[in-house]
Amino acid sequence: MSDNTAIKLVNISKSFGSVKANYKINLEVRKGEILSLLGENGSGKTTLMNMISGIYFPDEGSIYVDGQEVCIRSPRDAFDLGIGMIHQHFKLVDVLTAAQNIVLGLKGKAVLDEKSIENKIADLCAKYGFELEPHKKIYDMSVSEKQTVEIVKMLYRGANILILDEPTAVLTPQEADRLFEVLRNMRNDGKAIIIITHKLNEVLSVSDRVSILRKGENVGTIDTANATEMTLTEMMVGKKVELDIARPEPKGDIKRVEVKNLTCLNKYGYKALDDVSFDVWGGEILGIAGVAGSGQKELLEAIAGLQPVQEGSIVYFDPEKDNQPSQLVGKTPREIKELGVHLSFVPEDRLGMGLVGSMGMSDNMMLRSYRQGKSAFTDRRSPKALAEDIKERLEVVTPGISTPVRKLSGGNVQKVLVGREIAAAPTVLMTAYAVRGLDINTSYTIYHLLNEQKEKGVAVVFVGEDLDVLLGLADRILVLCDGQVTGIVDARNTTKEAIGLMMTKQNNEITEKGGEAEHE
Amino acid sequence: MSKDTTNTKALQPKQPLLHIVRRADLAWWKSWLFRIGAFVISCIVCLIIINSVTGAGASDVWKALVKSFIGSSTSVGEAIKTIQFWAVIRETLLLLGIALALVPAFKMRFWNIGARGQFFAGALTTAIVMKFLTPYMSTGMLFVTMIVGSVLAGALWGVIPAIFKAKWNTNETLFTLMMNYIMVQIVAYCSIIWAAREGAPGMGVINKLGSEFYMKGWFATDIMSGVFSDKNDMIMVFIVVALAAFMWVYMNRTKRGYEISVVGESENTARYAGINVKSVIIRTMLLSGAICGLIGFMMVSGYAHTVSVDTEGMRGFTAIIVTWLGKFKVGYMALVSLLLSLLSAGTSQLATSIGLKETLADVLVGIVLFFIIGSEFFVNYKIKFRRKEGTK
Repeated sequence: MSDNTAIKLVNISKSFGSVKANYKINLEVRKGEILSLLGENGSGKTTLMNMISGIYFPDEGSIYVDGQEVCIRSPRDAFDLGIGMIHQHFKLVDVLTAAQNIVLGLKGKAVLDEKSIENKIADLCAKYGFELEPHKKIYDMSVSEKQTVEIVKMLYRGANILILDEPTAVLTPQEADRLFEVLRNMRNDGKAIIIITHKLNEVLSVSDRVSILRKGENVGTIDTANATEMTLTEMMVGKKVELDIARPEPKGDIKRVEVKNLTCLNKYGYKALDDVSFDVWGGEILGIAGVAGSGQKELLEAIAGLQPVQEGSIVYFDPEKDNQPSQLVGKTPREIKELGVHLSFVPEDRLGMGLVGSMGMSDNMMLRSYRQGKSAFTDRRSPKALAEDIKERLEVVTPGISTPVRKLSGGNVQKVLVGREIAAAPTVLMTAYAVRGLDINTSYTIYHLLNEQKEKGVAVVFVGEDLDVLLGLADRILVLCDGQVTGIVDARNTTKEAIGLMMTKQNNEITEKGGEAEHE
Repeated sequence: MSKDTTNTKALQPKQPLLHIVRRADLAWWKSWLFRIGAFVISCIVCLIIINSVTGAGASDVWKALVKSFIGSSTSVGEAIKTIQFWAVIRETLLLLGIALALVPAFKMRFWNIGARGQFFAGALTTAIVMKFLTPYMSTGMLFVTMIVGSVLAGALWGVIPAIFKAKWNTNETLFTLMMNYIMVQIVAYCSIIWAAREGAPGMGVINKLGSEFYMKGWFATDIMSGVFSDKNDMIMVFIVVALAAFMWVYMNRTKRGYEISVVGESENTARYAGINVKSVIIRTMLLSGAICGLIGFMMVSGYAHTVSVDTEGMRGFTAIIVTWLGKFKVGYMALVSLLLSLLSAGTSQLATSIGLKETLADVLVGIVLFFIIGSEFFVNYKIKFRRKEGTK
C-alpha cells in the first residue's frame, strides 16, 4: 500500500434483507485526487459512502485509512478519522448563522471565541476560493450557499477525505462550475475527494479517476483521461445504449390548457408561483426546467387541484365537448375529475403521493378508479386485470401483483405509476421528474411512453432536471426561476447554456426573447 | 497488514459486539415458530418465578390453570357449561369487540386511545335508559332505545377528537386520552347521585326486569338451552361474530375501507386520489366510537346491570394491545383476545389456589406479553455477532 492512499476499502459488502446493496467492493482513493463514483440510482453508491461515514456498518470487509485498518462505528468515528460527508439534504440549523453551524458540536470553551472562529473560516475561504458570509443565517441562504457552509464545516473540522453526494443536483450549471473550481483547489491542497454522481459530463470535467458501480459491484476504475461518455455509459449499464431520444414533430394545434397570471403561496406563506402564464397544446411535450424548488411542484399541483391558488386562472379546453373551456381553479381533484377532465399526474413523490407503498399493484390501480359505480363495494376484478396488463406490457419486475409496491425497485415503481396514469386515457399528462433515479433503459421506456401519448394528441407536461433530456425530448421548454417564468423557448433551437442562464435570471435579454417564442 | 493499530486516535479496531440486520421475508411458519417459542420461554420464566415465590411445581400450576378454564368438569360437554368457561369467553368477546372498534381508526393512523371513554359513554347511556325509561316502555322497545342511545353516545365521544383533528390538526392521542378522564368522572358523578342507597358505592343492580328478560334469552328455543348453559353469552357471541364479519368486509371490500387504508398510508396520496381526508377521519371515528359504545351496552345490559368506574376494567387499553398484536387481522385478534383472557383468568386462579399474590399475577401477564411482543423484533431482524479474530 503506497503512502499516497488516503482511504482503501477491501471486499466491502452490505445487504438489506435479500437486497445486496454492495457486494465485495474494492475502492481506493489517493491523496490529492478527485474520484468520481459513478452509477445509476440503486447501484449502491450512497450505501457505500454511508459505510465510510459511519452511518451503516458493513456486513463484511475492511476499511483502511492512511494504511491502518479502522473500524467506523458511528459518524463520530468517521469524523475523528478526518472523513467528512456532505449529504444531498443538508444538515444545518436554519436559525443559526454560518459560523455557528460550522462550530456546532465541536468541543471548546463555554463562551465562543467568535473572532478566532471567523478568522479561521476566512482563512479557509481564501485558501480554497469559497464565498461565504459567516454572519448570514442559514434560512437566508440559497441552496448553493448552504452547500458551501457544509463543505467549510467539514474542512474546519480538519477533514482530509471529503465525500459529496450528488452535489450538483440542486445547483445551476454556473454554480456547479464554481463548486468544481473549489474542489480542484482542495485537490491541489492534497485532499482526497469523492463525488457521487450520475452525470457523465461532470465526471469527465472534474475528476481524475472514476469508479463505476453497477448493481452493487465495482465494475472498474479508470483514469478520466481515457474515458468518454460512451465508454462510461457502457460500463454503467453493461451494454451499449442509444443516447438519442426520439422526438416526433408535434401534431395537434389545439390549445388544451391555458394558465394565466397564476400566483400561489407555499406552505411557509411565500410566493411559490408569481404571475405565471403559459399555454399547453395538444400533441406536444412542454418541458419545464428550473433549479429544484423553483415552483415546479406547486405549478403541477395547482393544475391538479391540490394546491390552493391565490390569483389567476387555469382553463381547460375539453376536446370531448367541442373544446368548451372550463375553469379549474377552486376545484378539488374530485370535482375536476367529475367535470370530465382527463388529467393524469405522475407526481415527484412516487410512493408518498402517487402510490400507496404498502399496497400491491392491483390495489394501487384502484386508487384512481375505485370510486366508479354506485355500489358501496369495490370492484376488484378490473384493477387486477389492469395490473396484470401493465406488468406484462411495461415488463414490471415484481414477484406478483399483490406484492407491496414499496418492495419494488425505483424503476419498477415508476413503471407502475406511469402505467396507471396512462391507462386512464388522459388528455393532459403531467409528469414531475419522471425519470429521476431510473436506470437508462427504464428512462427510455418512459420517454417512449410519453412520445406515444404526444402522438395521440395528449398535452404532455414534463418537469425535468436533466437539461440534456429536456432539450432532446421536449418541443418547447418553459423555464422557472423563483416562481417566475423566465422564458419559454423552442427546444429545437436553444442551448443548454441559454437555459442555464434563464434558470438563474442572469440574462434579461434572453428572457425577453425567450418569452416571445411562440408555439409553432 | 499490521494488527497493531491500537494507537489510532482512541479507536479500537474492533467491530461492535453485535449489530442488527434486517431480515428478508421470513416464511410464515418460521415467524410462528418464533412467536410460539417466545410464548414457551415466557411460560418457563413464569414457572420459575411462581416456584421461587410459592414453591408450587409445574403440575400444580397446570392443574390450577385447567381449573380456571373449565372448573372441575371432566368432559367437553360439561366443560362448556361451566361458569369459568363462559367467563373466559365473555372476556374474550369484550376485548375483541373493542379491538374491532379500534381497527378502522388505527388503520387510518388515528391513535384512538379513547376506547375507555367511548365504552363508558355507551355503558352510561344504557344504564340511564334502564333506570329511567323502564316503566314507560315494552322490553323490546327498551332494548332498541338502549342500543341506539349507546351507539350514538359512543359515536359522539369518538367524533369530538376527530373533528378537532380534522379542523385544527390537534393531537388525537392526547385528546382521546383526555376524553377518557372526562367520561370516567361523569360516570363517577352519576353513580354517586343515583346511588342505590345513601353511601353505597354505586347504582347497584338496576332494572331487574331487563335482566330477567335477558336471562330468558332472545332466542327462546330449547335446542339452544340444551347445548349452551347461558344464553346471554350466546347472544354476545353472535353480536361480536357479526361485528367481526362486518369489520372484515368493511375494511377489505368496501370503498370506504379502501379510503381508510389510503389515508392511513399517506394523506398526500389520499388528496392526490381525490379523497376528502377530513370527512374520512370524522366518518371513521364515528364508526369506531359507535362500536365502542355498543360494547358498553353489551357489558351493562348483558352482564353488569349497573355502571361504575370499574365497569370497563381497562379493557379499552388492553384492546390496543390486542389490535396491535393481531396486526389488525380479525382472526389473529380473536386469538390474542382469547390468550389474554386465558392469561388473566389463569393467573387470578393461581392467586387463589396456590397463594400467589394478585399483584404478582399481573406481573406474570406482563412477562408473557413482553416475550410475545419481543419476538416480533426477532421476526423482523436478526442479530449478527462479531466475527472471531483471525477469520479474515
